[in-house]
Amino acid sequence: MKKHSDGEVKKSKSVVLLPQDVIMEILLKLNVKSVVRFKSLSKSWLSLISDSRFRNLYFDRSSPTEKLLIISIRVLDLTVPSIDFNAPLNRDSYSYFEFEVPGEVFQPGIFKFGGCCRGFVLLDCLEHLCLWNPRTGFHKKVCRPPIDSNKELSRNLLFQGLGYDPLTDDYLVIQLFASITIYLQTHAKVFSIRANKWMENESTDLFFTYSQDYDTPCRVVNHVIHWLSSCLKEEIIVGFILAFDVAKRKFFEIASPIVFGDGMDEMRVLSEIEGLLSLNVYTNSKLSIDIWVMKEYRVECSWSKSIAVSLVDHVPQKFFFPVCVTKDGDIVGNDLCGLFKFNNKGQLKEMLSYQDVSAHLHVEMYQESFLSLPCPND
Amino acid sequence: MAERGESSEAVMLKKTEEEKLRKGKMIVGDESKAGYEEEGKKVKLVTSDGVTMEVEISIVKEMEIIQTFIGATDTDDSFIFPISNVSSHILNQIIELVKGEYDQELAKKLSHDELKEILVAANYLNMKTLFHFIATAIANVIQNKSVEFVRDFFGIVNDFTEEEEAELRKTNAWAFEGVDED
Repeated sequence: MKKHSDGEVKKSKSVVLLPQDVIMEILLKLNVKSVVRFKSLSKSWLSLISDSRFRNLYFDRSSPTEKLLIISIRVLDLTVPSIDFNAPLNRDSYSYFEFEVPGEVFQPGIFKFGGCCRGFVLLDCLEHLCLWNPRTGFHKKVCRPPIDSNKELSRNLLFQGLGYDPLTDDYLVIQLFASITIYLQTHAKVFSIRANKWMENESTDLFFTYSQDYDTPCRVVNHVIHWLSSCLKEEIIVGFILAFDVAKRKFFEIASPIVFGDGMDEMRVLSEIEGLLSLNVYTNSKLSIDIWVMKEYRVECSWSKSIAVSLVDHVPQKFFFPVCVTKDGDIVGNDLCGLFKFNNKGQLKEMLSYQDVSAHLHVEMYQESFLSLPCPND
Repeated sequence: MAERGESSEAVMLKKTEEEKLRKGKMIVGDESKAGYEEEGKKVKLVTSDGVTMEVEISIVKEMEIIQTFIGATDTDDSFIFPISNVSSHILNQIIELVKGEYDQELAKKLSHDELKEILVAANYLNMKTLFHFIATAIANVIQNKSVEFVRDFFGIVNDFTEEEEAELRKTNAWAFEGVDED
């Protein structure tokens, strides 16, 4: 077949305009950074990329960019550092980035971290809750649920979390309270972003006991929010995983693969490894890390120990939390001084020390997205 | 969550592949009864520049738009399919890519215009594997490139005012760091 002459090829240059659905297929194959940059190509690209249908498709199709957010509970400089834990733990690394916390939402002060879901972070500020997407800067204030003065005088927040219901394309904030006035009773409240209001929700009849695990946040896997918790069963304190199915809006329990040990010696973290729920445990007295994975969701006999290492050359401080496992099977965790990466032989590979050691720090696995929240229904 | 989505997509893909396989077998089975010889069979396609090309059935099978015709009508050698949106040059490129089993090295030799034209053709002919192959090749070309490069690549006119563009760049400044040289 005769080839086109150069002249003809050149002539066709401005002629080949791709239809929007074809452009979208190309965009779906790009990384977040490129997609965000290409918003400034033209107005039609901006509206295509800003469209919620595209954003949802993009989130579902792309392989997630997982990072660690290093959240200082006492935010002084209004930045939250993040690092790709699959990349080298290095402040000069391309993967290290400091997100700016929107100042109009957070007064510098104490706030608690409430969980992560699809790139959104739930922050519990002094006066309100806030949903924040660090990558896009999008944020939304959520008022605290109102107190019904007939039923309760005040209450204790036991658990809170953020989840996503794919059926209704809605985000839910769930809070579980222990009633102070009525002994043994708990009640749950759910905030729907679409409904834009708090609603009463069916609670659980478990009697929770105090545990240091309450300071560890929720973990969302399979559209279910999970918390480590302990309750009193037949006069024995039992450690287990409390779960909340976001679509069904129901609580249920998942048995732990281990009997919870002494909270001062054993650091437990709920995590996710390749889409599976995992329980990561560091035992200070043995200098050992055990990673348990639930191979088949909600099948309790499928818990299996996927990694067991003893640390050899570097000993972290007493409170070491094994947060996640990298694609190469390295374990990343934090103590009071910094982030550490250990290989499967227990040798220290890398470390990133915190600049401000005095700050109370929390490290959380976070999946980057540039989703925005759905608009409240009229 | 995402993993779950991916796996269900993978299952769906598997299903359609199975269906394709079944469909393929059915055609072979039905046609062979009527004395149809699969091997070496060619289908005549007329391109936008009026060239009639004989294309092997194995390649035509990937063109779902033509496949529906073949399935619906009794085809014989005299049957000619017009593909009015695809030039002979592009059809030749498509044939090479399919025969080369979608080698990324082959895609690297294509010009930007060829990439775009093949993508439009793959979309029109409903060639799913080719479409995703070329879309990925284009994504590889424009990944980490500057806004100006990509505007030029797609022939897009910047319709922002200077202020609007500056504002977008300011709010997304992080996305403009460490971009490849054009």
